[in-house]
Amino acid sequence: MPLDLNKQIDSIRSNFDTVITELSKIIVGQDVLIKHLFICLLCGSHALIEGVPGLGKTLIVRSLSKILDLKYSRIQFTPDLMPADILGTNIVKEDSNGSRYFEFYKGPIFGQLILADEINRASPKTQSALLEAMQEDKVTVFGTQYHLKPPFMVLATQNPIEMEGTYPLPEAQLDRFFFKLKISYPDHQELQKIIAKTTEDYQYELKRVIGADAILEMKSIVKLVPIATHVKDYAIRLALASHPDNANASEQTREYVLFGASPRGVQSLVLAGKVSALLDGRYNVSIEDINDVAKPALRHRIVLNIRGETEGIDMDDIIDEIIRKVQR
Amino acid sequence: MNASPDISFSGEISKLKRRNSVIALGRILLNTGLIFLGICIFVFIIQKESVSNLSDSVSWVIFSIGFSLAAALVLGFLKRDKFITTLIDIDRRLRLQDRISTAYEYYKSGKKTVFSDLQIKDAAAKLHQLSTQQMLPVKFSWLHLLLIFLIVANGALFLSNYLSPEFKLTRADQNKLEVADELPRNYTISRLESKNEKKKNRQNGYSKELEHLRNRLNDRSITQDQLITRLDRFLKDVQGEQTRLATELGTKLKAAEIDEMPIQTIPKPENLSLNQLEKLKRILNRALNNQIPDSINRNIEALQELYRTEERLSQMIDEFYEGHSDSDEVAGSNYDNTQPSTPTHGLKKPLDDTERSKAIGEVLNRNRGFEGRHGQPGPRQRQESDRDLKDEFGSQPGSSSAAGSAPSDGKKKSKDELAKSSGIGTQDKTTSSQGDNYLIQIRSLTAIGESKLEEKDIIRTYRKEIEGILQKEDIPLNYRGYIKNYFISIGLKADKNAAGLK
Repeated sequence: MPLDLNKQIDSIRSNFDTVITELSKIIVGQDVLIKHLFICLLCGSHALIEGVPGLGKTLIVRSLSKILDLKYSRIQFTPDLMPADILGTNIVKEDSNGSRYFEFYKGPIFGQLILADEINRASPKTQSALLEAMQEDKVTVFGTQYHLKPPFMVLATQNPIEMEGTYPLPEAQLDRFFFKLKISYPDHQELQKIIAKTTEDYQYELKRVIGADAILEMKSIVKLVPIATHVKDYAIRLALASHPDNANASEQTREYVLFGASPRGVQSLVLAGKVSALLDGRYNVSIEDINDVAKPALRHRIVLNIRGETEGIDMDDIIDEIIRKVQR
Repeated sequence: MNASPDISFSGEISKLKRRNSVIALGRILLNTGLIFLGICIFVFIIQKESVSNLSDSVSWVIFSIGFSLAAALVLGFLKRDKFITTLIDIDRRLRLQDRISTAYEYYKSGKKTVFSDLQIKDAAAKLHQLSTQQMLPVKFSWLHLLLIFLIVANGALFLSNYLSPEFKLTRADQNKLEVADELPRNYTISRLESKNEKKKNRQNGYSKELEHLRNRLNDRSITQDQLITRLDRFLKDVQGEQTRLATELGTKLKAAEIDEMPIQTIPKPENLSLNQLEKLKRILNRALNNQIPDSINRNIEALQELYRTEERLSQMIDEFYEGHSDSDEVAGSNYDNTQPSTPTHGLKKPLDDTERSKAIGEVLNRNRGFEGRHGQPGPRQRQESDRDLKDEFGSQPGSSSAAGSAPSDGKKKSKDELAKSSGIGTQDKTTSSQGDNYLIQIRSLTAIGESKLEEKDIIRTYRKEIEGILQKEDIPLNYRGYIKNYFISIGLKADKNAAGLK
């Protein structure tokens, strides 16, 4: 078993490297984002990607679906989008005998890698339809439950600057995203590469390297990764320190935070830490792994108060301070 | 195959535990040293300040080492770290990403997962790559620095103690030396006390003798010569004894180093009067907290008793003399020292009243003139000179402390003459005139032409004296103002007179 496990762990690393290599054909930079997306995939969870338009959010997701050989669906969220547009609906059909019957027409949610583009533009009703599927891995249409094919992963995007006419996701729904990832603006060199790849005669072909079965196999061993008590304790203290009324809360937390991370935050930290350890070729979770995933796991679970919002406090700064405080 | 990583890991962990134990032992010894050296300094300070003499005792050293060790053990026990904490520290310090601590936890708890063997093997491999010194280095902490400081401090204290002249001079030794120092002094005092006892017996004899003489003075059967001889001898004995006791008192004061005490200058006891003796006693009581050595106290009392005896003897003679003078006046006889009466009886005959009076008068005068023979003033002269001596022995006896201390030449001086006198201010002396039937005392201010003190200086001295007296509480408060104003007015008049003369 250990030898097989060793092979599995090696395969996780090699798969990850392959994903990085393949994505680098079309995506410039964003290594951290890709790593976190891969972690999210192995944890069987969903991610919210936030970034200004034009940074390649859709391209990354589409490319990833190709590399992972997963069924890709894209849902463009608009204010008039209805749940049935996502989930699917029963339509009346007539057979050869002339009798009519309902047939369920599957919506885009029945894919494996779903791109929910600009999720905050749809109405809460529609958003909640997607979120139920994310939570339960199944949908209910007219009283009939339909299971979603694993691996099921939703990658939602939202634009942080165009907030007019949007329906910001409530905290309870945000909490269901495993990670909130930020796509950063490329630097000078990265921009040069982007220009070279997109405006010149650049040919590329993305290989399908992993496949759903391999993903499910990798997912199966993630939860077995050992984690020491003191590392778990560290993750808990980190989550607790994000609460303004906690004794370990930092000064910024006390000043700008309204609510701290939920227990899902700790779960995310530990689970993501395990995948991070595997990606690093280790058999145990370290405190460094927890720190590594702390920002994407906690940044959407900590709610700023009105002062923090008006002063434009960056959540990553608060998390950095919490890490420093807890590590001391 | 599964046992191999476990064995390897447990072997590495054992090494770490041994190393950890050695470090813990070292820490205990370090703490023991710190506590012991701290105690040493503390005891050194105590020894310097108080009477304890612990450092000489071997049992004390053993006790302090034992105490330090026990305290360090307790401290080590209370501050001991769990081994897992040590491993977490190793992980963090060597950036092992919690490999060792996680492996140890799973190894210790016996949790078996698909990862545990791989994880333990991985941790064992990492441990094998590192030396125990790398994992558990001996850190030079501030405690080591403190230990060095304490060692240096103890060394310095020991050296300072060794190099100081009081080396090995413990408190006990000092006590012994003090006792040895007091021995000769106590011996001298005890010798003087034993002598004093003998003298005291003799003093009782003086009282009896005085009583006997008092009876004899009225006894008409005794001849004049016998009476004179007896009085003279007795007076000599008393005064001789006074001189001896005063000298003895001086010796005792010197032996007891009282004359070197930071109190006011004490004149020679031979020059002290009865009142001054009493004052000396009061001063000594004040200075020594009512703990005057018995021998000195007894000596002063004996001296006082002798003075009183002398005074009583003098008084007795005066009374006797005055009584006979009165009877002479009544009988119309004229007794004058310039015109001696012719004796009507032989020497061996019992004396009649006139002769007896005359004879006793001569004895009296001779004894009053005792000063000339023995260099000491008689009792009345001492009383008179008391006024001139400063109350608190502020000046040496014999020096001029006030005007009018020159010996009387027996002549009457006018006020102006006295005021113009510029001679040396001499010892104030009074004499009793030897009138026919009354005693008159003439007090001269100065010998004309000899006093060098100006009148304002004399006035100033008096004023100082009076102001000093006014400071004392025995003068009622409401009288002080009157007295002061009176003397100030005298001073102003004197100043005016002096200015007028100029």
